[in-house]
Amino acid sequence: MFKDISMDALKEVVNIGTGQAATSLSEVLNQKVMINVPQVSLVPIEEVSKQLGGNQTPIVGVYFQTTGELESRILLIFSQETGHTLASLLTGNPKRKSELDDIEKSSIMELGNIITNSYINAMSQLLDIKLYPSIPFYAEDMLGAVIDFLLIEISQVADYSLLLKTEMMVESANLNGSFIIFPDENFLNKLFEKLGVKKLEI
Amino acid sequence: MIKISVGISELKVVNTPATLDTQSLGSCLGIVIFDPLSKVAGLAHTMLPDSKQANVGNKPGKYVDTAIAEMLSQMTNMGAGKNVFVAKLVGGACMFSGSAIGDFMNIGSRNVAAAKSVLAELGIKILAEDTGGNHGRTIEFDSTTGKVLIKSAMHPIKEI
Repeated sequence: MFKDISMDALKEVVNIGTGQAATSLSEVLNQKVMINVPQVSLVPIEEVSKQLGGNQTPIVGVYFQTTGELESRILLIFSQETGHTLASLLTGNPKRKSELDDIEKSSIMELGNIITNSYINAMSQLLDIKLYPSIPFYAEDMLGAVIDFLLIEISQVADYSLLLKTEMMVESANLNGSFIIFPDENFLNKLFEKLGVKKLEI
Repeated sequence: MIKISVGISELKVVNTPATLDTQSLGSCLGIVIFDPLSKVAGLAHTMLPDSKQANVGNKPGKYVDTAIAEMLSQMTNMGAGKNVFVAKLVGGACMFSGSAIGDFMNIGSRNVAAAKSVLAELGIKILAEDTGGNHGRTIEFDSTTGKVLIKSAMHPIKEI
């Protein structure tokens, strides 16, 4: 599918970016945050939801687009349980069973900003490029419904989606989330060019 | 009764009593078409309004226009009467809110508009719809009654 060296380079770069993101999350929460090595997978559009936890799974999601020299889409997914715990930790409000209020939603979006900006800053410095994040977009609902606009967009140019997924965990507080980058071919080719490795081969 | 699941960009048609379900419609649009007399019925989980803008693939269930045409053709072959079809629409939400949402996040409303225009051209009446808003919907359609059960994460169960 890919040249191994390109994949290793891709994972390494993303790992540095998400490592930085985890460090900021750790600072905000004042807790130890664990991350895994990014998993790279090429998934048929119909299978993406399953890969991320299932259509019907209730989640809290924050979405960003990056513009500048590398355009990509970034999605942060927390289980609903984690999303509500985080909102409570961040605002001091008691934990909710139903939908978050506006201030709690903002706190989650701000957390998303901090995580995503750390990733983007790390990537910009590492690759010496300009990257800008969009504002955060928030949704709390079943996973399949939250991500279908993304699948729709990707499906206009491909039947498959490339996922770069990094899981983040805070064991002491039983929190877990995923930081997912949806790179397109253009993103990968530019990235590999910057890294001086051979072009993407699908 | 048989239970048939319809995945994203798929369509299924039946001529025996069945429930057709599809999960987590966000911006995607669920299109139900049935013939109340012969009970031949179909459900599509469509992603995009117009097959003419297609760059890849040829799945009829992916586009509103081709999904409707394909369901009608399969249903007619299964013995549905002509000119007796009715429809129900569910989905086409915009899951994110805010003034800065991009065009692609608003694809749901374009899907709904496309379905209404295609159905109107064909003279197919829309009996009921639960579209738009900012929440996801999982649906179960009963081909014997024509009823559609709508489940959401944040809203009570609804029937149309």
